[in-house]
Parts: sequence; C-alpha cells; structure tokens
Amino acid sequence: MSQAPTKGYLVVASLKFEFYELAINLIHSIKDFDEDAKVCFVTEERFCDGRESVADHLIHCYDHGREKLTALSKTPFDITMYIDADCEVQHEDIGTAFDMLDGHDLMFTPLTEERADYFKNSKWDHGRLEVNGGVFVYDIRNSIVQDFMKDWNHYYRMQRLKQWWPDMKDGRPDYSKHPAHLEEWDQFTLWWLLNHNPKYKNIKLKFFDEEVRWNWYFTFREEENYTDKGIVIFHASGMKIKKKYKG
Amino acid sequence: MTTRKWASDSFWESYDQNRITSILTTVDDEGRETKQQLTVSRFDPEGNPNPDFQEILDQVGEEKISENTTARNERKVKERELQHQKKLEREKADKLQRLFEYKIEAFEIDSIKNSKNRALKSKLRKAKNIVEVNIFSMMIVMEEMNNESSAD
Repeated sequence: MSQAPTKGYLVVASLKFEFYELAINLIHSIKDFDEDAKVCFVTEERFCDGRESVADHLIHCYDHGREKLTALSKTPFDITMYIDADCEVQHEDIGTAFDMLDGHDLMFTPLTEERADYFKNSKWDHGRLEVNGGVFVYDIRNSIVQDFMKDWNHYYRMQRLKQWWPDMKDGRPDYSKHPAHLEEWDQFTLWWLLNHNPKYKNIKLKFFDEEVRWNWYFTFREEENYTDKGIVIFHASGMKIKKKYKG
Repeated sequence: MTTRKWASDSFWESYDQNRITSILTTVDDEGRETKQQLTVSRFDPEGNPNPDFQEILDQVGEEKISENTTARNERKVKERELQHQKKLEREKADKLQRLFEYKIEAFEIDSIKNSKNRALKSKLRKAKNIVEVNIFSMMIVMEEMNNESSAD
C-alpha cells in the first residue's frame, strides 16, 4: 500500500525583518485554522528571536529578496502550500487546499485581465501575466515539478544578471517583445516557464476553486469581494504596515 | 496676415448659451502659433454683440457646440463617478490596513497568542472591524485570566 503523501505549508521571510514579523503572524494564523498543520519556515538566522519556534521545520537562508525561489525545491513535504509572508489565514477551509490539488502538479490563483490594474507592470504590448505566484500548491514527488521549481529559481537569477531573457541578441537581452521593466519580476519567469518552455508544456496546472477566496488582496474592489464563504487567505501586499514593523 | 481658428470641441459654458469655452489658435505673419483657452461671452459689458462669439458660431456651428457640451457633460459625470469610486476604494483599503495592523498587535499579546480557544481566535482573525477585534481580544484575555485563577 502506498504511503499517504506528507502535506505542509512553506513560508519564507528574507531581506527585511518586517517580513519575519509578518511571517510569524501568518504561521500562527495557519495553526489557528489547521490544527494539524506542519509549517516549514525559511528565514535568515539573524532575524530569529525565538518566535520562529512556532514552525515545525526551520531552514536558514541568505539575505536575497527572492529566497522563496530557492526554498521551493527544498520543501520537506510531498505536497506543499506556499504562502507569501504578508498574508494571513482567516478560514478553516485552508486545510482543504491539499486535496483540491487532486492529482495536478501545480495549483495557482489566476491573474485575470480585470485585475491587471492591481498588479504593477503585469501587462505589456505582447502579453500579460496570467498566474499569481503569491499563493500556490505543488506536488514535488513528480520530478518535473522538482525541475520546475529549480528552473524558476535558475532562470530568475539569470534574468537579473541579464544572462537570460526570452529573446537574446548578441548575448544581451532583447527587450523589443518583452520590455525591460519585467526583468525584476519572478512572476514573469513563472509566466514564461508555464507558457513558453516546451519542457513544461505537459505540466498539470489548475486554478483554485473559488480562487478569489484563496488570495484576496485588500485592494480588491467591492464587486470582487464575493466572500459569502469567507476569505481564506488575506493578502496584505502593498500595505504600508511593513514600515511600522521594522526591526 | 494673422489667421484665427477656434477649436472644433468648443462647448457652452453656461446653460443660457451666452458663454462659450474654446481654444483659439492664432498664426501670425511669421508663422508663429499661439494657443489660448478662452471663455467668450455673447455680449460685451456694454451689451454689444461680441465679434469673437459670432466668429466661433460661424466656424464651429451652434449644433456642434451643443453636441460637444452634451458629450462633455456626460464625460464629466463619468469622471466624477470614477473619482468617487476610487475615493471609496482608498477609504476601504485604508480601513482594512488599520484593521490588519490592529489585529497583528492584538495577536502579539501573549495570552491571545498562546490561547487554546480556537473558536475565539478564529473569530478574532475574521473580525471585520476594530470593535470586533476589541471584543474578541477581551474575551480571550478574560478567559485566560479565569484559567490562571482556577489553576491557582
């Protein structure tokens, strides 16, 4: 009989102490609503002040702003739910996300065209970002998913070093189709891997059911606030709160 | 010779159609172009017909000016509605930000953070306003205090 997959949450806080503070709140909120939750916390050693012990696994990372991408392939769980540090869980349904994956490799929330206004630089002349990398579930048991997470990290770092871009000319990025302002975005790397890298054309991707509940931005307009069942994950991205919690 | 051209998007400034707002483009003998936005009255202060007003009517036409005015008014109403909506959205976002901040502070209180009462903590996490945060925080703290007294 095959063993049941291990399931857990991945939370990453690097570069700024305020992310550590927010991550601690997030981990507590996960455990408030999912009693049996296992959480892997990836953070910098210099931030740890004892509160990190709320997590079940602790991994120390470097002070790069996108340590998230390195952490994804290091998850100790078979099925992982990654949640951005500036989120808070607000509903008991949180634990249902793992089963919702339902045999797929990856599950995201969509970045719809109507919501493009909320996300800086998510559109350009030849395309737009289509998935939101702030909250997602993945099954690392499939080697293609393991490769995907490693490639996401690798391509992003290469793009920041100007050593990779969808179009290269004389060894330099050619920004005519994909403008330079997208370069800072790991979400752009994600978009390219999912849509244009043939290696991942068969990766099984789905969106969360009732997706708006699973990554609800505080800036969403009223009509998008269809939360009869309640917000599961509240995303505080862009809140000035971060400044208040400087260490 | 200086040429004068009134903009085709001129509109009535007043409901009685006695004032028009328009942009006048003049080009002098040396080809230098000047643009001015002007509000022109039908009559001068002495009650005499204003030749500029008549010139606009001749160049643009009364019907076109009325059409422009209707389109402009509709556009302004839409702009005001959009501004109002954006203001409401900003207010809502500010309110949510204050609430989130306040909740984080509540959860930093040891007796709340360490409380085992998941039902109350869940209500606190879901609190929709600061009053609810205060009520549920107080209930948790009081319960913890009662537990401590019973243990003593």
